[in-house]
Amino acid sequence: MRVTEQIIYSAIADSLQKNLQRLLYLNEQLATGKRINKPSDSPVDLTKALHYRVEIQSIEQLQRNSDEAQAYLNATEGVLSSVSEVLIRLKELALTGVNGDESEESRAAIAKEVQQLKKELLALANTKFRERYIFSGYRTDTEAFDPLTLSYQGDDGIINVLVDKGVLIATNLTGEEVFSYTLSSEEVVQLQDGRYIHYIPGGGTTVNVEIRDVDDTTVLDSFSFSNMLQMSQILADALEADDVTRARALLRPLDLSIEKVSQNIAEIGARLNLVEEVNNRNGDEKVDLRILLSGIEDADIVSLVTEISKTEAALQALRSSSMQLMNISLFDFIR
Amino acid sequence: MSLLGLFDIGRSALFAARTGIYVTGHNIANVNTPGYNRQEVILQTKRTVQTGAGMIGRGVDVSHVRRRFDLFTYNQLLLETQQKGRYDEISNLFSEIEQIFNESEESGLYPSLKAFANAWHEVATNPESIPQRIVLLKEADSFLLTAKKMERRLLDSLKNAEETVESMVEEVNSILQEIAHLNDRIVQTEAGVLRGEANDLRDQRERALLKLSELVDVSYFEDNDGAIKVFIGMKNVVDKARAKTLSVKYNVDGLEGIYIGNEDISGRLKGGRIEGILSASQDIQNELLTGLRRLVASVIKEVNYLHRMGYGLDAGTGRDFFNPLTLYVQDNSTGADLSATILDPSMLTLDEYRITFDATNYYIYNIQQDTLVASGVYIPGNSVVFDGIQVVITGTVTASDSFIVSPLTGILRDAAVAISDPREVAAASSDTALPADNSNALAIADLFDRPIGTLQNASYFDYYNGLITSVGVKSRFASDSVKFEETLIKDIQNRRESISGVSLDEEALNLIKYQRAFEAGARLIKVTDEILQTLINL
Repeated sequence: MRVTEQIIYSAIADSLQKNLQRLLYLNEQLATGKRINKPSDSPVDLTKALHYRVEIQSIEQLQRNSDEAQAYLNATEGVLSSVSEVLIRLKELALTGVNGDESEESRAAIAKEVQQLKKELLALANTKFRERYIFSGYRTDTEAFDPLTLSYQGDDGIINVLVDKGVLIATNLTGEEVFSYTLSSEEVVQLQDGRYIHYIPGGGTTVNVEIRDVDDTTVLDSFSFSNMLQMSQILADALEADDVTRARALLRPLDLSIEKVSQNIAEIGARLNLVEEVNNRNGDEKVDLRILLSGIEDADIVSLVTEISKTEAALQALRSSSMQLMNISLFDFIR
Repeated sequence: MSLLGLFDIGRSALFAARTGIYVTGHNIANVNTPGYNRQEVILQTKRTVQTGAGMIGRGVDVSHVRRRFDLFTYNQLLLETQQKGRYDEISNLFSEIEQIFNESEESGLYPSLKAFANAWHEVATNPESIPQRIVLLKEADSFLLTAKKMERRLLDSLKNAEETVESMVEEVNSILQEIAHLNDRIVQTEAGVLRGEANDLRDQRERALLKLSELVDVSYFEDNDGAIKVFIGMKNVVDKARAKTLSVKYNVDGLEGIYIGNEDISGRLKGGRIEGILSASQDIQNELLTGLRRLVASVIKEVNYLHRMGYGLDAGTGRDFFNPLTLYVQDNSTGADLSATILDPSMLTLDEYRITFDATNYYIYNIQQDTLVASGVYIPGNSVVFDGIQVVITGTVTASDSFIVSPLTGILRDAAVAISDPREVAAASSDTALPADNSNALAIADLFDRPIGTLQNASYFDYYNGLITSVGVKSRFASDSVKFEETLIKDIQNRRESISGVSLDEEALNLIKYQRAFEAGARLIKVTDEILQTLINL
């Protein structure tokens, strides 16, 4: 092939341009630390990177959800253990109260403490956590129990939170779940003096209590309650009025209540475990995704730096050889 | 045979050598002129004379000055220049567009849609709390703003592209004029000359043609008189000294087209910068712009649908979260009117419809699916219902009339969050379960992980991912093609240079060669003179 100066010049210019472009490209990667700086750098990898990024964002949201769920569940758990303590103390007091050795005065004193514990129980039932009455179901803007009638005024709403893909977790227990129990069938207890106590399911969480004579038909006394608050109010009133039989009739409901609360504590514990487990798993997955993402979009700095110095060396060599090439001309020899 | 004939031989030698130096000088002077074809002197012996001693030569004649030019290489160069021009523009446009779709963790549509989705989760976690709702409204706003900004930039790019095409067409017209003018001069110069060509004028014309083919794909052939006929899109645009003009017009769909007279030749263009811009613009418009609008429309449609079923903290229901979708009608008729309303937003396909007519009937086509949706006898004032849309056409229609009904064209211009009071965010599914019922918020949050019917059953993120990938692949393909064409053109140019280019070393040799020839010719004249002196002095 016939070679002209133009061919040489343009070949030199071309190679210089190529090297400079490569240097710029490598430097851009070094500056951003990323291998992919625009979609066309690698469309396939970019798609993957975006996918990983969105997965990470999703997981971060799930973790935030889990944190929220955990906060509410922890609050509930705290209240439940206090409720359990209050109930145990109530049971102790009731047992002391029904003891025949106690005087009327001492029963009145016990009644005062029971009254105090009832107030405590009411405060616990109307616990407000972050502006939310946690035992009101969906009606989180109203107190779970009316302070006067002591009846439940929330609903059965369960507030679910998404803690993992497809995994909803209930973050609350309703006031009825915590502070009431449902009697499935009538129960009868015979007292030492031969009288009977009937516990009759009254629809919903209402329990009707009848104290009957030894013939098991004559109703001597009856009362009803639909939650632990009302129950403790009745206990306080009974002790105040020195009514030992009523107090005795409340021993079994107290036991059932204590049992119910411990069941709920176990339930919340299980939910907390699940949330924590999911959260940990998601945390691990996030780390995995981060590693994948980094593998795809992060530049390999070491090889980048090597590549840059290689390109620079090539550029330098090209420049000096070009100088020589361009300096030769026959005209130099015509004198 | 006289002694004086020697003077003639000497003179012809001097003339030949001088012409040689002249041409060499011209070559050296044009060593850097682009498209210059090196020239050389073609010498031949003068007619001989018959003598008793046989044939005796009478010196040298300069036959003509010839260009070293290879038509095959030149035509290849034209062809590849067209392709390179095309890919250059596609690559330019797409590398601009891909900056718009350049998603990083902090900005872009992708993260802002995700933030919107996450804000629903936050509302679901704290349904009775106002701050989370305010954040949700802000995120919805910023999602729309991001989409609007992207649309703005896409439209700006398209607008720029349109203007570039207009200025390129101007340039094409002026080159066509130049070629016609050169045609004329070449024909005149070459007329009556037996040998040789109007070398420099031809160089100029080839350069003009090359410049032209960078802009638009041309074909040409040369007439016997030296003029060339130039064709663009199979239309003769230069014939001898006459050139036609190209113009830019917009068709009924608002798309830019290249016209010669009233004929649209855009569809016949296969290369060149102009075609590159036109085809890339069309891609951007049909795929990316429509895709972006469709994505936003789909978010609005689905979120509104669920939101209307939910209840706000104020127990209100049936409210849209975003401003509801509306239909945009493009009227390409002379005497008819069309009004379109959405009867059932949940039935919208988010496709665009073209309504055409013949003598008696109307036809409604889904543009994206390319299917006939409805047709029937046209009765003015009757309403037609399809895909949740009701259209009523009035007035007289002709076969050339058409309407386009689209839920997309103005969507980003009009999109806004409809609710301003955060309490109106419908997180609850029932008005008796306030304020902590979050089931509707959960359902809306779930929307962003689900396949969406109006997005070909892709999730929002997959759909958007598809758009980005498409930009990336197209941009990558165009820039790869540019590189390929560059290598090819480099190769052809080297070949052209190898044949037609000026080598200074060669010219240095020629200079010496002709200088020596001149010196020898001069010596011949001197010797002849001396011989003559000798004779005279006898």
